[in-house]
Amino acid sequence: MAYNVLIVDDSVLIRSMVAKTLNIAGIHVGKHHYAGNGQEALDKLESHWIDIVFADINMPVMDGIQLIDTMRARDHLADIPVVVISTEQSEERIQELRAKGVRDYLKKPFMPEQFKEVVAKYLERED
Amino acid sequence: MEIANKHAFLEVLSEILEQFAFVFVEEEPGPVDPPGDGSPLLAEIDFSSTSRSGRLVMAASPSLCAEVAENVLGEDDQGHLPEDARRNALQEVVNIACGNLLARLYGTEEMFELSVPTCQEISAEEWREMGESEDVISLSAEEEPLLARLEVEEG
Repeated sequence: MAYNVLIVDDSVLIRSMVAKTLNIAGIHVGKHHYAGNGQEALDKLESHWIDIVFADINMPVMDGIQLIDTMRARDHLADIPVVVISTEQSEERIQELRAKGVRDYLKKPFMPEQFKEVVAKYLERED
Repeated sequence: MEIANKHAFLEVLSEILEQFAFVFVEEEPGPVDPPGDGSPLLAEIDFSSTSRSGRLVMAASPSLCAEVAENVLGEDDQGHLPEDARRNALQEVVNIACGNLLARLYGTEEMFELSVPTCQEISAEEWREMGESEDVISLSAEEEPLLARLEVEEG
């Protein structure tokens, strides 16, 4: 099955790297969608079918935390799995994200196997 | 910078650049000359917790930033770098290095707020000034110059 993914990061380099890593991990992506901040991500989520969101935290305009809070407040977006990809590593931050419903947390720099594991955990079991 | 912190700083920078961009880093014994291939780029990120605040600053040659961007994007993209890819590359190196360095130095129990990294061109004179300051580490990566400075204020 092919999944539509939304990659949210203010770095065009990281967006491209995540897309390539998904490919290397052997994940069959139907369509890649990209956003440079939380607001752009919400616009994509409201206009496209998205199966999973990979999002950074520190972004201009609207950060990842605000994006997650807004998604959870909208019933039709609340159940879309969100995986945070960030450089922040504090246990408190990770607990805060999990409390907000974030499914998983990948630390930069990341490896293809981590994406494979995440997609298997949160999407394949829902097929 | 304390010796223990300097070792951790060097280790983290080496690991990050190697894992993220396939670039290998060596420490230089003294200040390194400004790059000869155009204006150097300088990226910085601020951080703060309840116990301390500070900034990580890195300056690099345009060629090194381009190499990082090319390596991250992969072979297919070489020669077709997106606009701002060089700046993006250095910003992301600073971002990743900062998160990993803070975890290495202070553990994962302390929660830091990180700013969005910024990047700008600097002059050769500004490069020299930075290179001569005591707390700067002079490095070479793939034979290109690289400067790094960690500023921490306790309290």
